[in-house]
Amino acid sequence: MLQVGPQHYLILAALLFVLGAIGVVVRRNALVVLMSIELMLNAVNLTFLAFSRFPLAAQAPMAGGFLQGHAAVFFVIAVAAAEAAVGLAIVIAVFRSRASVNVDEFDTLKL
Amino acid sequence: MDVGWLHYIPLLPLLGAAFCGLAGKWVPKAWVYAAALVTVLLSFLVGLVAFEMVSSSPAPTAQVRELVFNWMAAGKLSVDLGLAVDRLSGAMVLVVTGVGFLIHVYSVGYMDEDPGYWRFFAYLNLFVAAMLLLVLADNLVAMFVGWEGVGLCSYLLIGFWFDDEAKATAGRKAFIVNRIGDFGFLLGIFALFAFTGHVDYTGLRGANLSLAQASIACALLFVGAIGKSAQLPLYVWLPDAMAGPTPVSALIHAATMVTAGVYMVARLSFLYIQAPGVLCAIALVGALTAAWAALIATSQTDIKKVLAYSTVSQLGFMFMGVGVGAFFAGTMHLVTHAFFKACLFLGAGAVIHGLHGEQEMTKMGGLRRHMPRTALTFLVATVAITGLIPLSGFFSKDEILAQALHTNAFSFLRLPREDGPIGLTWLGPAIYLLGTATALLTSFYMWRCYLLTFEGSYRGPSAVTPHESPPIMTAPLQILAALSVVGLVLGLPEGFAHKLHLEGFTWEHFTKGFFAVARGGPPGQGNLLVTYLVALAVAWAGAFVAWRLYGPEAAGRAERLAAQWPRLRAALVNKFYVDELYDRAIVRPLWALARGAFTVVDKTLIDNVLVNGSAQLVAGIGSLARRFQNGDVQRYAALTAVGLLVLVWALLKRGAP
Amino acid sequence: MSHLLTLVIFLPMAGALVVALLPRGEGGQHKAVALLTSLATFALSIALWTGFQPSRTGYQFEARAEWAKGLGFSYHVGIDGVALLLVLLTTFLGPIVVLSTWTSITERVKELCLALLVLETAMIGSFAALDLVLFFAFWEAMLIPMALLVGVWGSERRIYAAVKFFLFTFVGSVLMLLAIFYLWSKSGPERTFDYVVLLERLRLEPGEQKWLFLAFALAFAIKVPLFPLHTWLPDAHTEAPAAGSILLAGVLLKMGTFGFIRYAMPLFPQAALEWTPAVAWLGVIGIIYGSLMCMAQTDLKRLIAYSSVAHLGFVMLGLSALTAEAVSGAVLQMVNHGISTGALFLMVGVLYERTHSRDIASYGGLARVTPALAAVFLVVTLSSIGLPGTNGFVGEFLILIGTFRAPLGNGTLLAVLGSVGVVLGAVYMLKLYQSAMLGPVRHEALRSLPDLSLREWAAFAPLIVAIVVIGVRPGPLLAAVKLPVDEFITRVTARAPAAEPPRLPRPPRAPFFPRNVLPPREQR
Repeated sequence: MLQVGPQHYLILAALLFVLGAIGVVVRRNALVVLMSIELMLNAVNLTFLAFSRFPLAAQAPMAGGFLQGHAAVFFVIAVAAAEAAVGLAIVIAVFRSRASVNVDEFDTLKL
Repeated sequence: MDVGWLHYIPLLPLLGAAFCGLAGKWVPKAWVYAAALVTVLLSFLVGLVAFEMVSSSPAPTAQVRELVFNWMAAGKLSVDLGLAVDRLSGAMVLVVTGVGFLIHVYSVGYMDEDPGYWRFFAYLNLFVAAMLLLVLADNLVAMFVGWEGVGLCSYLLIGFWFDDEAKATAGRKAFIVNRIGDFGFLLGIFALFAFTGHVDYTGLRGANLSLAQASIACALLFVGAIGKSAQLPLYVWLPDAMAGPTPVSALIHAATMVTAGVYMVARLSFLYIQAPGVLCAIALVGALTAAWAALIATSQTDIKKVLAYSTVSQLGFMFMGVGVGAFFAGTMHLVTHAFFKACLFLGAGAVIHGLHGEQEMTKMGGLRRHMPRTALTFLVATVAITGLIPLSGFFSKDEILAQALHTNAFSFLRLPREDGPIGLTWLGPAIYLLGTATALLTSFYMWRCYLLTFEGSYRGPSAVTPHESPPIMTAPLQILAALSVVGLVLGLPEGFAHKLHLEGFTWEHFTKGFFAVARGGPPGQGNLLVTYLVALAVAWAGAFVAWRLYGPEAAGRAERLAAQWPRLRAALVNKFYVDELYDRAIVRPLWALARGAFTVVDKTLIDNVLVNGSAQLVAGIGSLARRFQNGDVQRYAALTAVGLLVLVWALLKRGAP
Repeated sequence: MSHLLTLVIFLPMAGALVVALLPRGEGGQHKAVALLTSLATFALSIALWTGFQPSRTGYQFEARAEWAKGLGFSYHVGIDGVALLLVLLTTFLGPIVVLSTWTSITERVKELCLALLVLETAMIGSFAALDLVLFFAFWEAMLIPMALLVGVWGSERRIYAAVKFFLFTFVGSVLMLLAIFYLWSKSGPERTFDYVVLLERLRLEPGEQKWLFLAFALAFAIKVPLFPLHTWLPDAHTEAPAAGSILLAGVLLKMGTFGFIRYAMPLFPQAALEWTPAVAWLGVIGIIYGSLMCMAQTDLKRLIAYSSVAHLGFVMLGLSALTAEAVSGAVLQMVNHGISTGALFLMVGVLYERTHSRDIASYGGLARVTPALAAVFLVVTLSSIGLPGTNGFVGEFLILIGTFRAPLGNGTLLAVLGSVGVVLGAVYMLKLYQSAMLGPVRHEALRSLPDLSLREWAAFAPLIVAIVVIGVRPGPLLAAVKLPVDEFITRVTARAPAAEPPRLPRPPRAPFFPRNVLPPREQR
């Protein structure tokens, strides 16, 4: 029977992070880029939870057990939501003036 | 002896030049003439006073000096503007101002109708001032000021009619060829300063020079003389200089400026005797130039060109004289030559003036009937230069040849050879032979010139009636002709002069003890009568040949003779193609080099490759770098991620804290 | 402490302020103010001349004011004989330059006058500065007005020429700035930028000296201009207006040579000795190459620009020869070149104003049409080729005679080659004179050209007087520079430095950039 340890969670989180990063860099649709950013943030969440569930030795627990990671995840989720809201607002504003969400076309800040 | 008024000698003509040049356009003609003539005359009188002081003093090296001011002083060099009249420079001053004054008078007539007459007199006076500075200077640098000053005036006067491109070019050629000589002169001054720390004659006299040092310095100074006195190979400017008005040719290119080289060598006789090899070279150059120029003169048809080459040839004689150590002979010929050559040139000018500008002898002839006074003076001067009758030219030329024959200046020189050194004692007699042959040629071409111009029948166009010149032009001619005759006193042999109690008037006596004696010792004693007879024979032979070919009964003999050697004739007429050679070998390659260097080195190599190239390089790198800033946010994000990864890797590799 | 020098430096700047306050559009007012200011500056500089004592060593008219005490630079000005002559040259050319623009420049006159006056301040300041930062500030301050002069009021390719000029000279200066900072760091326990202090205190290894000398020398060599860094000059001169050319050739080029004699060579004597043969050779190459380039030109201004390369080759040759005669001649020739080439460019400006052509082929036979102009042109030409009696001869003669016997190594050969330059100078200048002035009138349009006007005479007359007076009586000028020249030579050629003070052990230097960003492993 497969013993699921911290490495499985971490590798999964790393894979998700890389997928998200590639999506940020490669995809052309601004909304998909935002989605990829969400994916990266969730991968980070998974990493925090993994280390929270399988803590490294010599770490002091909170009252009620090891919950530092879980606490961090809440922060991250809140930030992700705020960032998604702002990001979507920007994309909508740009769409209103450019009628496109193709990031390749947003290149006027150049030399 | 120190006086305070020597500076008037060059200053007065300079003031005259300033007046004529700056105000001459607006003041009446008479004022211009007065300013020009009076200043030169006053200069002559002041010079006469100084000359009197010097010649009446018993010591042959007596000097009347003046230190006008210290011109420049830096480091060990101190150059004064100092003037010194001694027997040589005093006599030169008289020649320059005297003959100069006569030519000024002549020019009043010659240039009367020219609208630029005021410029002419300004330049002429400036020339006299510069020549006087050259002669009177007591150091080489001040002499150089006069040296280049006369070069400048030569440029201005040759190109006087500057509307004509050819004349302007002739002036430029004179200046540039002179400058090439000046290059050597300057190096000579530098060398002397480097070896001795002095540039003034007194300091140089006392300096100790090794043979090599003296030879280098003297050779370099002589290069300057080659340029100024139109010797081989830098004589090419003098014939072209005939483009200027004839009084210019008379004053500058016959009597005074071109003699500056001879004057310089004579002045520095104490230096040149320390370099016997250089003296030898001087004599050779002089002899070769004399022969070369005489050959060319035999076939020229422009009367001024004949006289120009004659001047080059006679200058060669002068250098022959100083080169064999007979400094007094060379300078004596300088003085007598001034008289008769000026007379010849002014006579030619009168002819040209009377023919309204015709200079080709083929269109002259029979002018004796139309211009009797001019013809007579020309005849006298021709007799003087050829030595047909013993007048001034006969004695001075023969003295040079006799000195060459008997010279001891080369007696101790040795040419190194494998089978033992050979002496050069034969050089003197060789020069004598060459000189005598040249004298033959001289007689021939001068009589040819006279006969073609004044004898026979008039060959010019009938529209032009030759007329005699006004008295203001013929009077100087007559005075100069008289001087050519009277000047024979300068060259009388000692014994003869003693009998006539004219000892004090001979040049040899006058300059005895002044010039240094060549290292080989004084010349040997020969039979003067022999050399006199040879000279007379040669002169009469040349005249005879000229009479046969160009006299009244010649009837085409000259043309038939010329037709027998067409290539030789062509070479002579075309001056041995020397100008063309210089043009092809030096002038054109130099300009091509300049243009080539400009295109290849400056425009292409330095500017395009290096300067603009480095600018392009920077622009190129910029355009590469620009690719990172194309406004594409995803590219920025990707680069950030990559950079982050690198940082993390580096930290992990080195061990994070 | 005398304030005269400060006044001379900043009076043009004050005039510039007045010009700035005047309303635009009334061209005559601005030019009048500029003219008056430059004349007043010249008058004040005469006071500098009369008050100068040639027999006193050291710097005269010194003035000092604290500027940034902690950082080590102050406002320190003073002049010696060499600087005095160059300051006089600058103030002498000032009014002439303003006169030259009187009718030729009619647009943006206010900016023009501002540029000219600020430029004058910067030039005088650079000659008078005795503090390295102050010197650098004035040095850089010269670039902008000059680039503006070329770029705004110039001819067709003016932008290219202005940018080229600016970048080329700027690149050199940047390296010099680095070198200045290095000197500051080496100036002893109390770091200073002061030149006089540095001269006394600096003790540098030969290796250090070499790089510092090269950094300084590069900046100055570009300015001189020394072959092969000269290609900015023809373009700048060709495209600049007459005023710009006169100032560029008359004064700015002297900054380069002045930099050598004041900074590059005395501060680093061993390196200077090592490199002077190279500089001398470059100078001689400049003479001959410059003259050859002149012969190949068809553009009037470009020809005279290359003649500047040739003339300044003489100056660099003289400086490198390190004998009293040669160096005195070089300093004198700096002044002479300013006057004669300034006059040449003024002449070109005068001609250009009449025909709007720089092409030599479009002239010909002008001596018949404008005789006074031709006469002035002849005098200036003769000065340029060094005819005895003109100023050019004295300088060239002293340089060559000093180089001939120089302990430089190939001194004699260099003097011979330099003398060839004398011949070549006559070749191209007389060809130019003949092509432009002599011969038949080549184009009918030339026949209607006016002769020199009164204003033009007023601009030329001082130059001609200077040419003749310096040619005949260079004595006072040579006397003024005698002491600085002797000191310069002593300082550069003294191989063994005087008894050195005992070397104190250096404190360990705190690194500017620590080697490891992170502390080493063992400490964790």
